[in-house]
Amino acid sequence: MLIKKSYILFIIPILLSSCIKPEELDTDADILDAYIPAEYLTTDPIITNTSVEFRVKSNVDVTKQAPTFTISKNATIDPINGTIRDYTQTQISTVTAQDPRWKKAYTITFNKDELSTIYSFNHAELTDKDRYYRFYTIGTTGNKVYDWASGNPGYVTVAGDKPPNDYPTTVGEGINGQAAKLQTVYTSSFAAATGNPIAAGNLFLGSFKINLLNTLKSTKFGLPYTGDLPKSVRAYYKYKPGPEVRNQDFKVVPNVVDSFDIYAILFESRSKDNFLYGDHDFKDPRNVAIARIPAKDRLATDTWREINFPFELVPGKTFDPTKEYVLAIVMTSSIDGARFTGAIGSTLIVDNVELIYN
Amino acid sequence: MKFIFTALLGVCYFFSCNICIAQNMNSAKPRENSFFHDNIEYQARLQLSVGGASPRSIPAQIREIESFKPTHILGLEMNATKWINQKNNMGIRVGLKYEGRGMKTRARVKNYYTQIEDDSGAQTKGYFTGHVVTEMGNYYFTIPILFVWNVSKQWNIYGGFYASTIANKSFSGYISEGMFREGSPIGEPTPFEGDSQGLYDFSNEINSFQWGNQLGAELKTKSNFRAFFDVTMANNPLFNKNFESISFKMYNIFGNIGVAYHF
Repeated sequence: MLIKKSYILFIIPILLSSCIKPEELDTDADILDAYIPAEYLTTDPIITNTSVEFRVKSNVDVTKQAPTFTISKNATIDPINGTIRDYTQTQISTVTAQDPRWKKAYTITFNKDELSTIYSFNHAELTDKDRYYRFYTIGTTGNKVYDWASGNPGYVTVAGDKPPNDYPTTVGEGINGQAAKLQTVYTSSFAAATGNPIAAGNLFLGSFKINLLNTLKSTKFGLPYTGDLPKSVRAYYKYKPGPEVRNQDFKVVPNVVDSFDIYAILFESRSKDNFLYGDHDFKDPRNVAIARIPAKDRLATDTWREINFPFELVPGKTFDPTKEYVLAIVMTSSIDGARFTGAIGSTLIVDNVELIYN
Repeated sequence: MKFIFTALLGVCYFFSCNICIAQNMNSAKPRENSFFHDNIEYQARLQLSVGGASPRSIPAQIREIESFKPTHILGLEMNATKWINQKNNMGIRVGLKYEGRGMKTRARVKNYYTQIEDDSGAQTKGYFTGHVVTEMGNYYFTIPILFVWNVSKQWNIYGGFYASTIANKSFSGYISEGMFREGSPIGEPTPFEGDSQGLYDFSNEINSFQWGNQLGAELKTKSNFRAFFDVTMANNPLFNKNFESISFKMYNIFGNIGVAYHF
């Protein structure tokens, strides 16, 4: 009898692993996709973990809109899809997971504003549990407009409890008020193992959605632009290169001093995927005009330096002011940051970025 | 490997000491009642262990054990059994064992609380839905203290306690093919797709002391060899008390089979 008992004990490990409990309720409370009539939109809706922004044409009546949303499996949304509301001001939609303990309030914004032509980076707020800064401007209806995006949301996973000022993109002291401060930082050993040992600070017109499989697909450059072809981009900067440039294997690249980059691209608009990914390398066939800071102006300086660099038409392209375009302005603290090469500690501070017209 | 050699040396030393003591007793005081000579038997054991670190009952976060592979399965033991009654069928056994405790598992999880981290100290805790691969490879020095009862000519059963101290610890793995949500189940999502992985290594959080229960049986043969099987179940968790990166407590639970050589 006792022997039989010990047999039972012997199979306990197997028994234990076979006792799978019933599945718990789903906790996802996400807006996965958002829809309004496509002809209203100037670009795809911009969806984050807590917000949806529709950038719409100036003739759209935002006082009566009924957007619909695709949400997580088994979740519910309040108000329900198709509810007509006045989106002159930001509205709230709450998504509740199947497990009702988990819900998220999304801000739903309709933005009719044209892109600004001057940015002073004086407005920044802490976001995502106060972990990092994001810049915004004030729209015509008093709404916060988040034209500028950065890779900060992707840095959260490896940042641990680092303060906001240690994130790649943060605020710095500006000429008048604040400036954008971009710095190249070490990511983590596991990011390094996949060839992303450093993260350059970046700031760009567009949006960011994490794609770990291909980090360069996380950055989506460009926002809808209408108007004349600007003559040039003017900006003020300070720059300090970090001591050692390292490549994506985290090996020191000898005899190279890190440099920064600031550029603007105007490219043709299209209905789907209306942006440039971080790996565009200036070769996208949609590109119409490019302004990029020349190498001779990319200097280390600890006092404010003005730069002004012209837009140049891509050979074979013409600019038609009646057409819709997309504008990307991109700044980074390490010029090869997109190839995960740069010097930890490289710091670029930028203020008063302005499009100059004739 | 170093640990294996150390262990082998330890076991050999233990073994040779016992023999020496026994021989010395033999030569010095033949036929006299000696604690290490009369009513005592010695055994060397080779064991294969299959099991793992497991919660006492599987939490709902774990939806499916997709694969399980025993690793670090070898163990070596020397023990002595002192018979304590006149019929010589009940005794106390004390041993010294060097044993591997390992596994490699892949599980499908839902809202599994974990922490991914790196060598610079950066850590991110959150909830993961997807697949978790865990590799454990620990070695322990273990002292079993067991009561042995010869229930028949062929069989004895034994049971009691063991105490272990860790010699080599390793507990690591990765999350993949799923969604990691930072901080809470509705936190910032990070999808893991294709080859992307979030690594974790909790090796340093493993408790260096273990104790638990052991129960088993031994089958005697006509030769000096015996076959045995037993189960060891830890009574204290695998990880230190303050460890919070996995939301449930895990315990070493192993089934062991092997052969014993009886001197």
